[in-house]
Amino acid sequence: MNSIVTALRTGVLGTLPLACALLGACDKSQPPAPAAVADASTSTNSAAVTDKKEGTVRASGSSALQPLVNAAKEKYEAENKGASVEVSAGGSKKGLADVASGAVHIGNSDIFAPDDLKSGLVDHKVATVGFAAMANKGPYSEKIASLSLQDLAKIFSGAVKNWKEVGGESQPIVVINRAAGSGTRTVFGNIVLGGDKFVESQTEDNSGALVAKLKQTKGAISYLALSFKDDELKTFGLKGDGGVVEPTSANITSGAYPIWSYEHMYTKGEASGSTKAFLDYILSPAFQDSVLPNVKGFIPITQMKVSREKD
Amino acid sequence: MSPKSAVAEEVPPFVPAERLRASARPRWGEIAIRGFIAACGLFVVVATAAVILFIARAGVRGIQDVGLGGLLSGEIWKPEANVFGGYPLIFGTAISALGAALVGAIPALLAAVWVSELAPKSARSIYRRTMEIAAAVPSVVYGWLALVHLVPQAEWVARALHGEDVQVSGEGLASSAVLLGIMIAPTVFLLSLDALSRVSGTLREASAALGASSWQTAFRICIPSAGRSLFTAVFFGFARAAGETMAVQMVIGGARRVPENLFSPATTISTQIVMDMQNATPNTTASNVLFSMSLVLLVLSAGVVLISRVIGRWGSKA
Repeated sequence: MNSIVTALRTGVLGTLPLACALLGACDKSQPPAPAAVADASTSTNSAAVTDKKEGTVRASGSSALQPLVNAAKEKYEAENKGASVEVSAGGSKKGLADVASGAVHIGNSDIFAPDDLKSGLVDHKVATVGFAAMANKGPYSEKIASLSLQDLAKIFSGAVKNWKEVGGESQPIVVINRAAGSGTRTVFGNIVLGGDKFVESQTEDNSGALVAKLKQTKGAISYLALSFKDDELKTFGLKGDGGVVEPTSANITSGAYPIWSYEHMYTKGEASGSTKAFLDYILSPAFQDSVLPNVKGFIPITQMKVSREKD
Repeated sequence: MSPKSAVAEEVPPFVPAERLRASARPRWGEIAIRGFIAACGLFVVVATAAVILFIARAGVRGIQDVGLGGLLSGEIWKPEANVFGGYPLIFGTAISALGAALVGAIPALLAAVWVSELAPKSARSIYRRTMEIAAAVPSVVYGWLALVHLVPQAEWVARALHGEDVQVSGEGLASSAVLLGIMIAPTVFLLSLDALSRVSGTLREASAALGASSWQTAFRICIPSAGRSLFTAVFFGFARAAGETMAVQMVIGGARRVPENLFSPATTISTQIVMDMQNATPNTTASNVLFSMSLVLLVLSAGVVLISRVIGRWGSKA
């Protein structure tokens, strides 16, 4: 009996620290409140390796920007031994949240940081990219070369449900949206619909998956960065009063084609260490003038003749 | 269950009392091992309680922010605009899990009856091994297969059923229910098989001695005898279907609304949590509401298991 009591006591006492560890761990795992975020910025920066180019730079966010960062990563890692860049996609808003919480060094975004995050973040505009409506190729849309902003607004708000209503042949329109955290969705919605007024429909959570879905779904239409332009998809020009404006680099830099956005790489506080080295490389003439123009869809920030202060 | 009784069960019945008395020194090794085992037992209980407590704490805050009525019956879920109507999520979860029970769990149960009672004995282990492998296939593999092979078929079926003029891509509740049905079938099959194997051989022999055929024995003797466990197997499958996330996300389409038909894109609680948690800042309504929905899912699954217990008890008394 004595030994049972002892065992019980040991059991209870033995469990307490475990339970406390569990509770404590749970409390710590909750990311800091926004107020605490700004204070933590210095610690993230000081964690960077002293030797500038060595060490890992982690970036997350926009899937539209990912191809450009990947291109930079390849060149940068080849030129600098010991440097490593990790890029993941998951939507612009995830990138902004990740960089603000200190989970990554760089937050990739197609949109300007919202007011509640803006104070702690530093914006690095690295390029611009155009967006366009893209659709599954089929006989129903063969005759449609371009759509007006009004047509696009009707299609994506769900007012128009069949291709024949916008000049094609009878085929139900299947609208596929990007998920709510997408910068592409925000930019396209702001310019075409005047806000997030998309019809509630099927969603994909990154651009790559969306391209595959568009290719296999009859009647499907969505919106993508021009970096995802694909010969197997139909890309629509914009029909306006002065004729059709194609989503080309020339039309975007001149401001004639309105659906474009900056590609931002946000850091928490001023960039330093390996993060600064990587951003410096992306903004260097070597990258902007000779590598970037060869990455499909992107336009060097220096070539823009028009500018914007907000999305 | 009190911790005392849990510990008491660990003690072997033949405690050599004279040896305890003989050795004056306490046996530290034994005490340590017993203490460790008792701690393990307690840890499970404490950890589970802590998980429920944390979900409930944030979940209740979410309910306070939005209101229980709006959260359960609101038809628009748009966290980016601070609109939290959870009905489309609950609807999607319930329909795809019910559909899965219909197309997966019931056939799996009947398959178990066939294998256990009617099929040639030599084939039993082949069925069992096959289903064990099927149960071990990761859900993402099922999801991927369904996306490539099931969804295009669903689009074809939808056009056949609803005409050429429907806006469908094949992603929706029908695909999700069939996929979940296939996913839970092995588990339900194996649980049912175990339940039937626990039916006493004497009952079967007595039934046969009275002149019953093997079909009559299976349906009149074995199924009623194993009734409670069979119910548990089906409801366990339902609960698993309700909670499945990854595979469902691949085929359900992700539209946050109550769908017009089974082939229109929809969403479920678990898939919507995955989609929205990336944008939910902790300790905001957007994040708390996700915990509220987790709580709904927990109550739904736990409720179903409880109902199965009640029905099982009632069934075994009759």
